[in-house]
Amino acid sequence: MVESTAYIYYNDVRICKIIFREISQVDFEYIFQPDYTKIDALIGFKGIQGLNLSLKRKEYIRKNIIPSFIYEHSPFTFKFEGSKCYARDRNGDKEFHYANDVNGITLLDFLAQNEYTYFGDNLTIRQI
Amino acid sequence: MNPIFRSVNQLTINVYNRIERFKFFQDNYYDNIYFIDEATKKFLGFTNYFNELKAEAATLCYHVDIKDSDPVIIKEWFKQNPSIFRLPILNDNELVGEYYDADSFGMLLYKRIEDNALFLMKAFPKQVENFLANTANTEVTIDKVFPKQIRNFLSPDSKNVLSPSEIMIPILLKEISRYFKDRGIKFFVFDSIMHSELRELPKYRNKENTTLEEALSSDKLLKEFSINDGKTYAFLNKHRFDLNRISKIAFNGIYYGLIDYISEEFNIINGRRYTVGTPLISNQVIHLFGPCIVEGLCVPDDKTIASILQSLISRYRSQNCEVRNHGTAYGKDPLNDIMRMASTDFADNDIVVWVSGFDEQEEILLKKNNVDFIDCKLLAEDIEGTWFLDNPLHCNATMNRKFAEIIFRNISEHICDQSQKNELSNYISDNKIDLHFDNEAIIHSQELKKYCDWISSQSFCEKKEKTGCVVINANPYTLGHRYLIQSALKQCDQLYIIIVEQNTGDFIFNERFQMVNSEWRNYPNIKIISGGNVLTSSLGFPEYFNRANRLKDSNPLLNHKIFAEYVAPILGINIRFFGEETNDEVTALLNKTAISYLPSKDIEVKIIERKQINSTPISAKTVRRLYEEQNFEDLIPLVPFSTYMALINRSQNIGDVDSLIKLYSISQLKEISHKVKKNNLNYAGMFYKFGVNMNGDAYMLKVAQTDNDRLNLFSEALGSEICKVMNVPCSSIQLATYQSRLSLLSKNWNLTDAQFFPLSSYYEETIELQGQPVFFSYQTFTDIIRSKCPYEYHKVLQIFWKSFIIDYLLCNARGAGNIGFIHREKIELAPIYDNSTFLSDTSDKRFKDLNFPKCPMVFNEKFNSAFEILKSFKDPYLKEALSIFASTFSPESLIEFIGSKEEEFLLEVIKYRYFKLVQ
Repeated sequence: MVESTAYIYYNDVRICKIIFREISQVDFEYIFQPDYTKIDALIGFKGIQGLNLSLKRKEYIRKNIIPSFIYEHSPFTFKFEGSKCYARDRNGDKEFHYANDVNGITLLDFLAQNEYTYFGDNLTIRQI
Repeated sequence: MNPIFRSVNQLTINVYNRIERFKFFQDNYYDNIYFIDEATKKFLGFTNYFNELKAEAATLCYHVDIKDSDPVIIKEWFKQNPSIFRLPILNDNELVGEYYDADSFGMLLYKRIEDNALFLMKAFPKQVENFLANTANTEVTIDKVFPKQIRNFLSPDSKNVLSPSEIMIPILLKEISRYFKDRGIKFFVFDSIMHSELRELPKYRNKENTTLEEALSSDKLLKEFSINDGKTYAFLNKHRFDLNRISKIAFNGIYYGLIDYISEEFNIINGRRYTVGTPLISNQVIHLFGPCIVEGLCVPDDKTIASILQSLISRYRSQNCEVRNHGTAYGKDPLNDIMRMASTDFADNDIVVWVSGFDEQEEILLKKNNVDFIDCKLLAEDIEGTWFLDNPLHCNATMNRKFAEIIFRNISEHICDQSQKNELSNYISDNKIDLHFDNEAIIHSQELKKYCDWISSQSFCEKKEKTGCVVINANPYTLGHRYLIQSALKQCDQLYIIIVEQNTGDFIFNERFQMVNSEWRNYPNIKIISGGNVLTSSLGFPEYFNRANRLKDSNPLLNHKIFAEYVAPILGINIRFFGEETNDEVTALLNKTAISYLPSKDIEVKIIERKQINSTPISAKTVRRLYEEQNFEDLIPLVPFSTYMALINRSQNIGDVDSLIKLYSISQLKEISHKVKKNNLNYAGMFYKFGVNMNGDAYMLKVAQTDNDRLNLFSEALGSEICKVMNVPCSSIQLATYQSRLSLLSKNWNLTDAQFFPLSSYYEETIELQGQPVFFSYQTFTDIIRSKCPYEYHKVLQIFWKSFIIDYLLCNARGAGNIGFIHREKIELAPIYDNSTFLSDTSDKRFKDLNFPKCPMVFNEKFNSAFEILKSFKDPYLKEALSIFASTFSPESLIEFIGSKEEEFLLEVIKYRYFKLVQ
């Protein structure tokens, strides 16, 4: 089983841990563990895409789906150049699937190590 | 050659009686009569005039299936089958219509002669009475239905029956011979061999019959025909597909004369073939009459009998004698030749020469009238090589020289070098015959009657208050024509676009029609129809087609009269739009006379200012010049893409077409590579995109990598335009080029103290409550909006539905990732973004499937497509959006946006789906 860990930062404040687990060839999961002590103290913070933080859940588990937050923060270059990225046309509808590994490392590792800046919020993904 | 499609309801079907078929064919010489099984509607075959002349008329069966009926293929088919003028088109073995060569129309020559003879009988009542009294021992019946040739074919045993021409030719021959004799005018008749007589000569016994079209298609034959005569070969080679077209005829009230035609080597001026080398001042005129052998159909100006004769006379006899060519190329018609003689002004010392092929009976008549009759049939024996194309009246220069020499020898002694003053007069005026030149004869013609019958089937079902009309040649179709049509459309409820049918330049009617049709065919308030053979045709307005002709002779009033008194009433037209004309004198005169004439017929005239590029009006003439120069780059701002591609496809040395297409579509856009600087922002989605700064602002830059990307960028651009029209907040975007690739700049939203959340993230949030993501359904969508931003609910739903309509038009299937919200103090809907398309490329015809693409949002199990939802889903916000859409949007508003292959295609998509929705 492959596992990666990274953190979401809001203006240099670490607010959430992300764990990716590749359970099998077909099953995987992302687990988000928000740090409410940090989050509740933030000013101007509007949330993390896909997570209803008002529920104050300890964990938000996303099994076999790419979470909105990961999808949105993945730059095009990764999607295009990533070896396992593909698009499928089914009955005229496009259905996108994103690989969970890029050149031998997990997508989460890839995002954390490249520190992309997403246009839509001030959240970044890092591993430290 | 001018192949045009007409549908099955315009064709003649199942005429079982042979006599009825001949009646049809003599009025419609080139047409087919089709046979279909009345029970199954399956195509059985057809027949035509040529087929009917066979003893056992067979049913012909060649055809083309509709899937192969691309105009280019059809044009090629006609080229490959030069003697076939009508081509049936089948769909699943059912006749759907035919392509017809509009250059080949009209009645059988024999029938034309008989109609004319019948008409002339009224002008010579006493002579007819005397003729009938003196000729027949028993009572004679006049056959007003069939000419002699068909009557003899259908009823070989009929006796005491005469056709009008059999009465009028002897009468008029006698009259004209006597007239010439009385005035001292020398009259010579030269008898050329005819096709039927040629067979009697041993050397031609085995010669195969060919048609003119077949002969012209054979390079070998053309070379043999023009041996040692490169000029004739070049002339024929140039006119392989239109030789018959350059010699058009029109009835002038007395005879059928030639319509003027101006070119380098073939000129018809004032109705006469130009004779090379005529003196400026002459004291004697040699008048040559006759059919195409005299006109010189198959040779350049300097190789006609008249020009060679002129050269011989000038060299050996007189510098002051003029040879005039009155030849009329439309088949042997002695009656027409005589009527032309009868109405031509002669001086007493003039000489009349008639060259034609005369049959035995005509020869007897001529000799009986004591004319100088010279038999030239044996010339065919003496001459070597291929001296005629399809028939012996279509001679080459060598045979023409032989004729000129024999004429010269016979008339030489009557050529005088002394100047004599002579009064000019003609038979008709001298004898006070009740015949008059009538340049408006077309008004009484069958052509106009047929055209009127046809257009009545083309009119709008419902006539509206303001019905406009533009008549354009579109040779080729330019952005100027587009502007004229758009401007006209804004000023009327419905509009007829009439395309001049007669060809004047490189673009045949079908190509010109296609260019216009591809752009406007989906508009329910527009009808595109042909001008036929009458409206702005060489019959109705010959000057339009012969710009080199003298302006003072122009008579555009006839053209307006045809329009105002015949066409407009049938179509209910009450406004006629003209493009302002500043350069072309003939068109300017057309406009000027329209302003003074048409209002008197209750037709308002509106002159639309010319569309300009760089302060210069767009003109088709400029486009043609640029095309001649192969200057495709400068063509780009002047023509729509469809025209541009037609020009490219016609060019022989076009190089890399794909690169030219790309050049066309992006050369109008600004290159921004040197103006932008990459920033570190990244964006979601599949498209190649990145953040840039330009002039202090941040943008997302999408750069096309593939043809599909290009289509999507144009879709976004057009979608953004539709959003503006429908008052939908949309990302501010502009097309550009980045490193020479099509690109799209989208200005970043102001997200200071704000965060972006796609709708998909709201759906994801439901996992904690539901245990799994909920369906992307309309119901959950409205629930989510009520929950997330109840104060925005009304606005979000309004914009959602407008956006839904736009997606339908573009074949876009908007997912939950393509709807967004911005969280500030409150949650608000983000500007609409990503108006892309699910179509793959410009050849993708799936847009005609209204169930494409499948709608990702679930409404209920009943609906699969946006179209079904828009048509049937009950929702007050949808109803409101449709109402706004109907009142604000028209595909016409998008026409002048960018101009590219992709845009042309997407406009077709939008138009198609728009009209399907509003129907």
